Amino acid sequence: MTTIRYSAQRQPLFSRTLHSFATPGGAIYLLLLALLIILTFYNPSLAEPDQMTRFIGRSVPIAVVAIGQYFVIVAGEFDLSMGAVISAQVVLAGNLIGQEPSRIPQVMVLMMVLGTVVGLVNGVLTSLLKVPSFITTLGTALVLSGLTFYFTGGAPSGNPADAFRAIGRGGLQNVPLIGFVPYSVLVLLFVAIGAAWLMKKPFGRMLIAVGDNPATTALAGASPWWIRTKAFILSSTAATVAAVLMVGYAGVSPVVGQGYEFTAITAVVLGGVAWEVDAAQSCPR
Amino acid sequence: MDDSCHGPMPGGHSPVSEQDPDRLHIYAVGGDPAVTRMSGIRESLPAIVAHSLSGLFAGLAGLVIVARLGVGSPEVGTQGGYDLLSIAAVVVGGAVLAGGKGSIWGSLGGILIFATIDSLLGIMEVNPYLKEVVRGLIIIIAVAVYAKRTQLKRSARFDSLRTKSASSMKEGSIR
Repeated sequence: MTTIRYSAQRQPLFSRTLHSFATPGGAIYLLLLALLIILTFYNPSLAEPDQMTRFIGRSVPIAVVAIGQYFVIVAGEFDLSMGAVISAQVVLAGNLIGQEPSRIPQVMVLMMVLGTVVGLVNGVLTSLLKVPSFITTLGTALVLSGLTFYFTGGAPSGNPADAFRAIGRGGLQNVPLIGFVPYSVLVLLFVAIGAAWLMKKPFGRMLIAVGDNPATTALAGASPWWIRTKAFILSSTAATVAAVLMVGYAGVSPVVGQGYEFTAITAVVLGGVAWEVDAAQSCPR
Repeated sequence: MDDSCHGPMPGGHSPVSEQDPDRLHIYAVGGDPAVTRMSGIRESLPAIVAHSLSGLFAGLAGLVIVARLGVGSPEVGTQGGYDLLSIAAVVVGGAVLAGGKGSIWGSLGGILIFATIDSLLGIMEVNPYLKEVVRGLIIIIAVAVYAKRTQLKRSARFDSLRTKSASSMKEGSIR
């Protein structure tokens, strides 16, 4: 034990966990625990494992959006276009897939491409043209939602095949101990682990560095514009993933994504991420 | 209106009048709260005043809207997108999101641009949803056109206090 403490300067896991509860990112879990206890007090059936996984499954889209927003906020920017991206992607999926399950792979590739393009546009406008990200993403949000409303006429349209809706709706039956595990929970696990892994990689460290001090990062030889652009691409890709899940939950409507970007920003800030100032302190360990 | 406007002000002036030092205090807090504090100005008061004014003016806008609609609709504010579009108009009018720069006249100009384009597109009978698209493009283009130039030229409000090397380093950062 002592050797670990001397060599790596890391305290044992238990005391690290205990200390982390004093930080905003850790304290939020205590608050969550308290809320869950109150919730199960009023609704005891929630304590059953399969009800709990269903409950988590319903909140997966917003969690994925928040993870995407996290990358952008840590890099010192905003992404207000996520809600519009979700709506546009949901409508796109609903209308292009229709009742033919065979089109699902192509349409999903198209959605990913669209998400990447939106992120690229946001990133390039923000970092190369030096438009504040607030304005850039507000502009792309207006453009995207305007186009979505224009093509749908403002009414829900398109009804994707059940096989596609099953991604957001269905799940694994008869899992031992838990019972029912929605696919969306698996998606969340994948996205969360991937994001945590990414933040440990050099890319994640650069992201925090750019958010903390772009000048020194540039002087250290990195290219802040490309790092920020990648953050924007990640966020709109996350919005696309959330859109795929939301087709199953919420159905096809041009307003499904409305307000998601603000909920995501709130979630990220609640979790202790500061933007522009001392982003470095909130890096995940 | 006058009471809520003047209440927190020590001098009893209107904070938006040209001569008032509190108007400069709002600029100072926006420019750098820490420096403002060190200059002997409480940074919380201008912030409270600014927020109160924003709430007050939002209330006034509500009066205008209810006079126009003739009915108290609970969703007219959120659906109108007033929060984001007002920020966009102010930024198009030359204010800087980081704070410390921008003028009332510039903001009015930004609003006039939006209003003119809205009615122009209305006269041209453009689809109302496509109007939104055009509005989004205009926000980006308008800011992009001068964002690069103003950021290169942009100096702090009190320019002489800044060293040249510090500002040139900051400009080189983003590229």
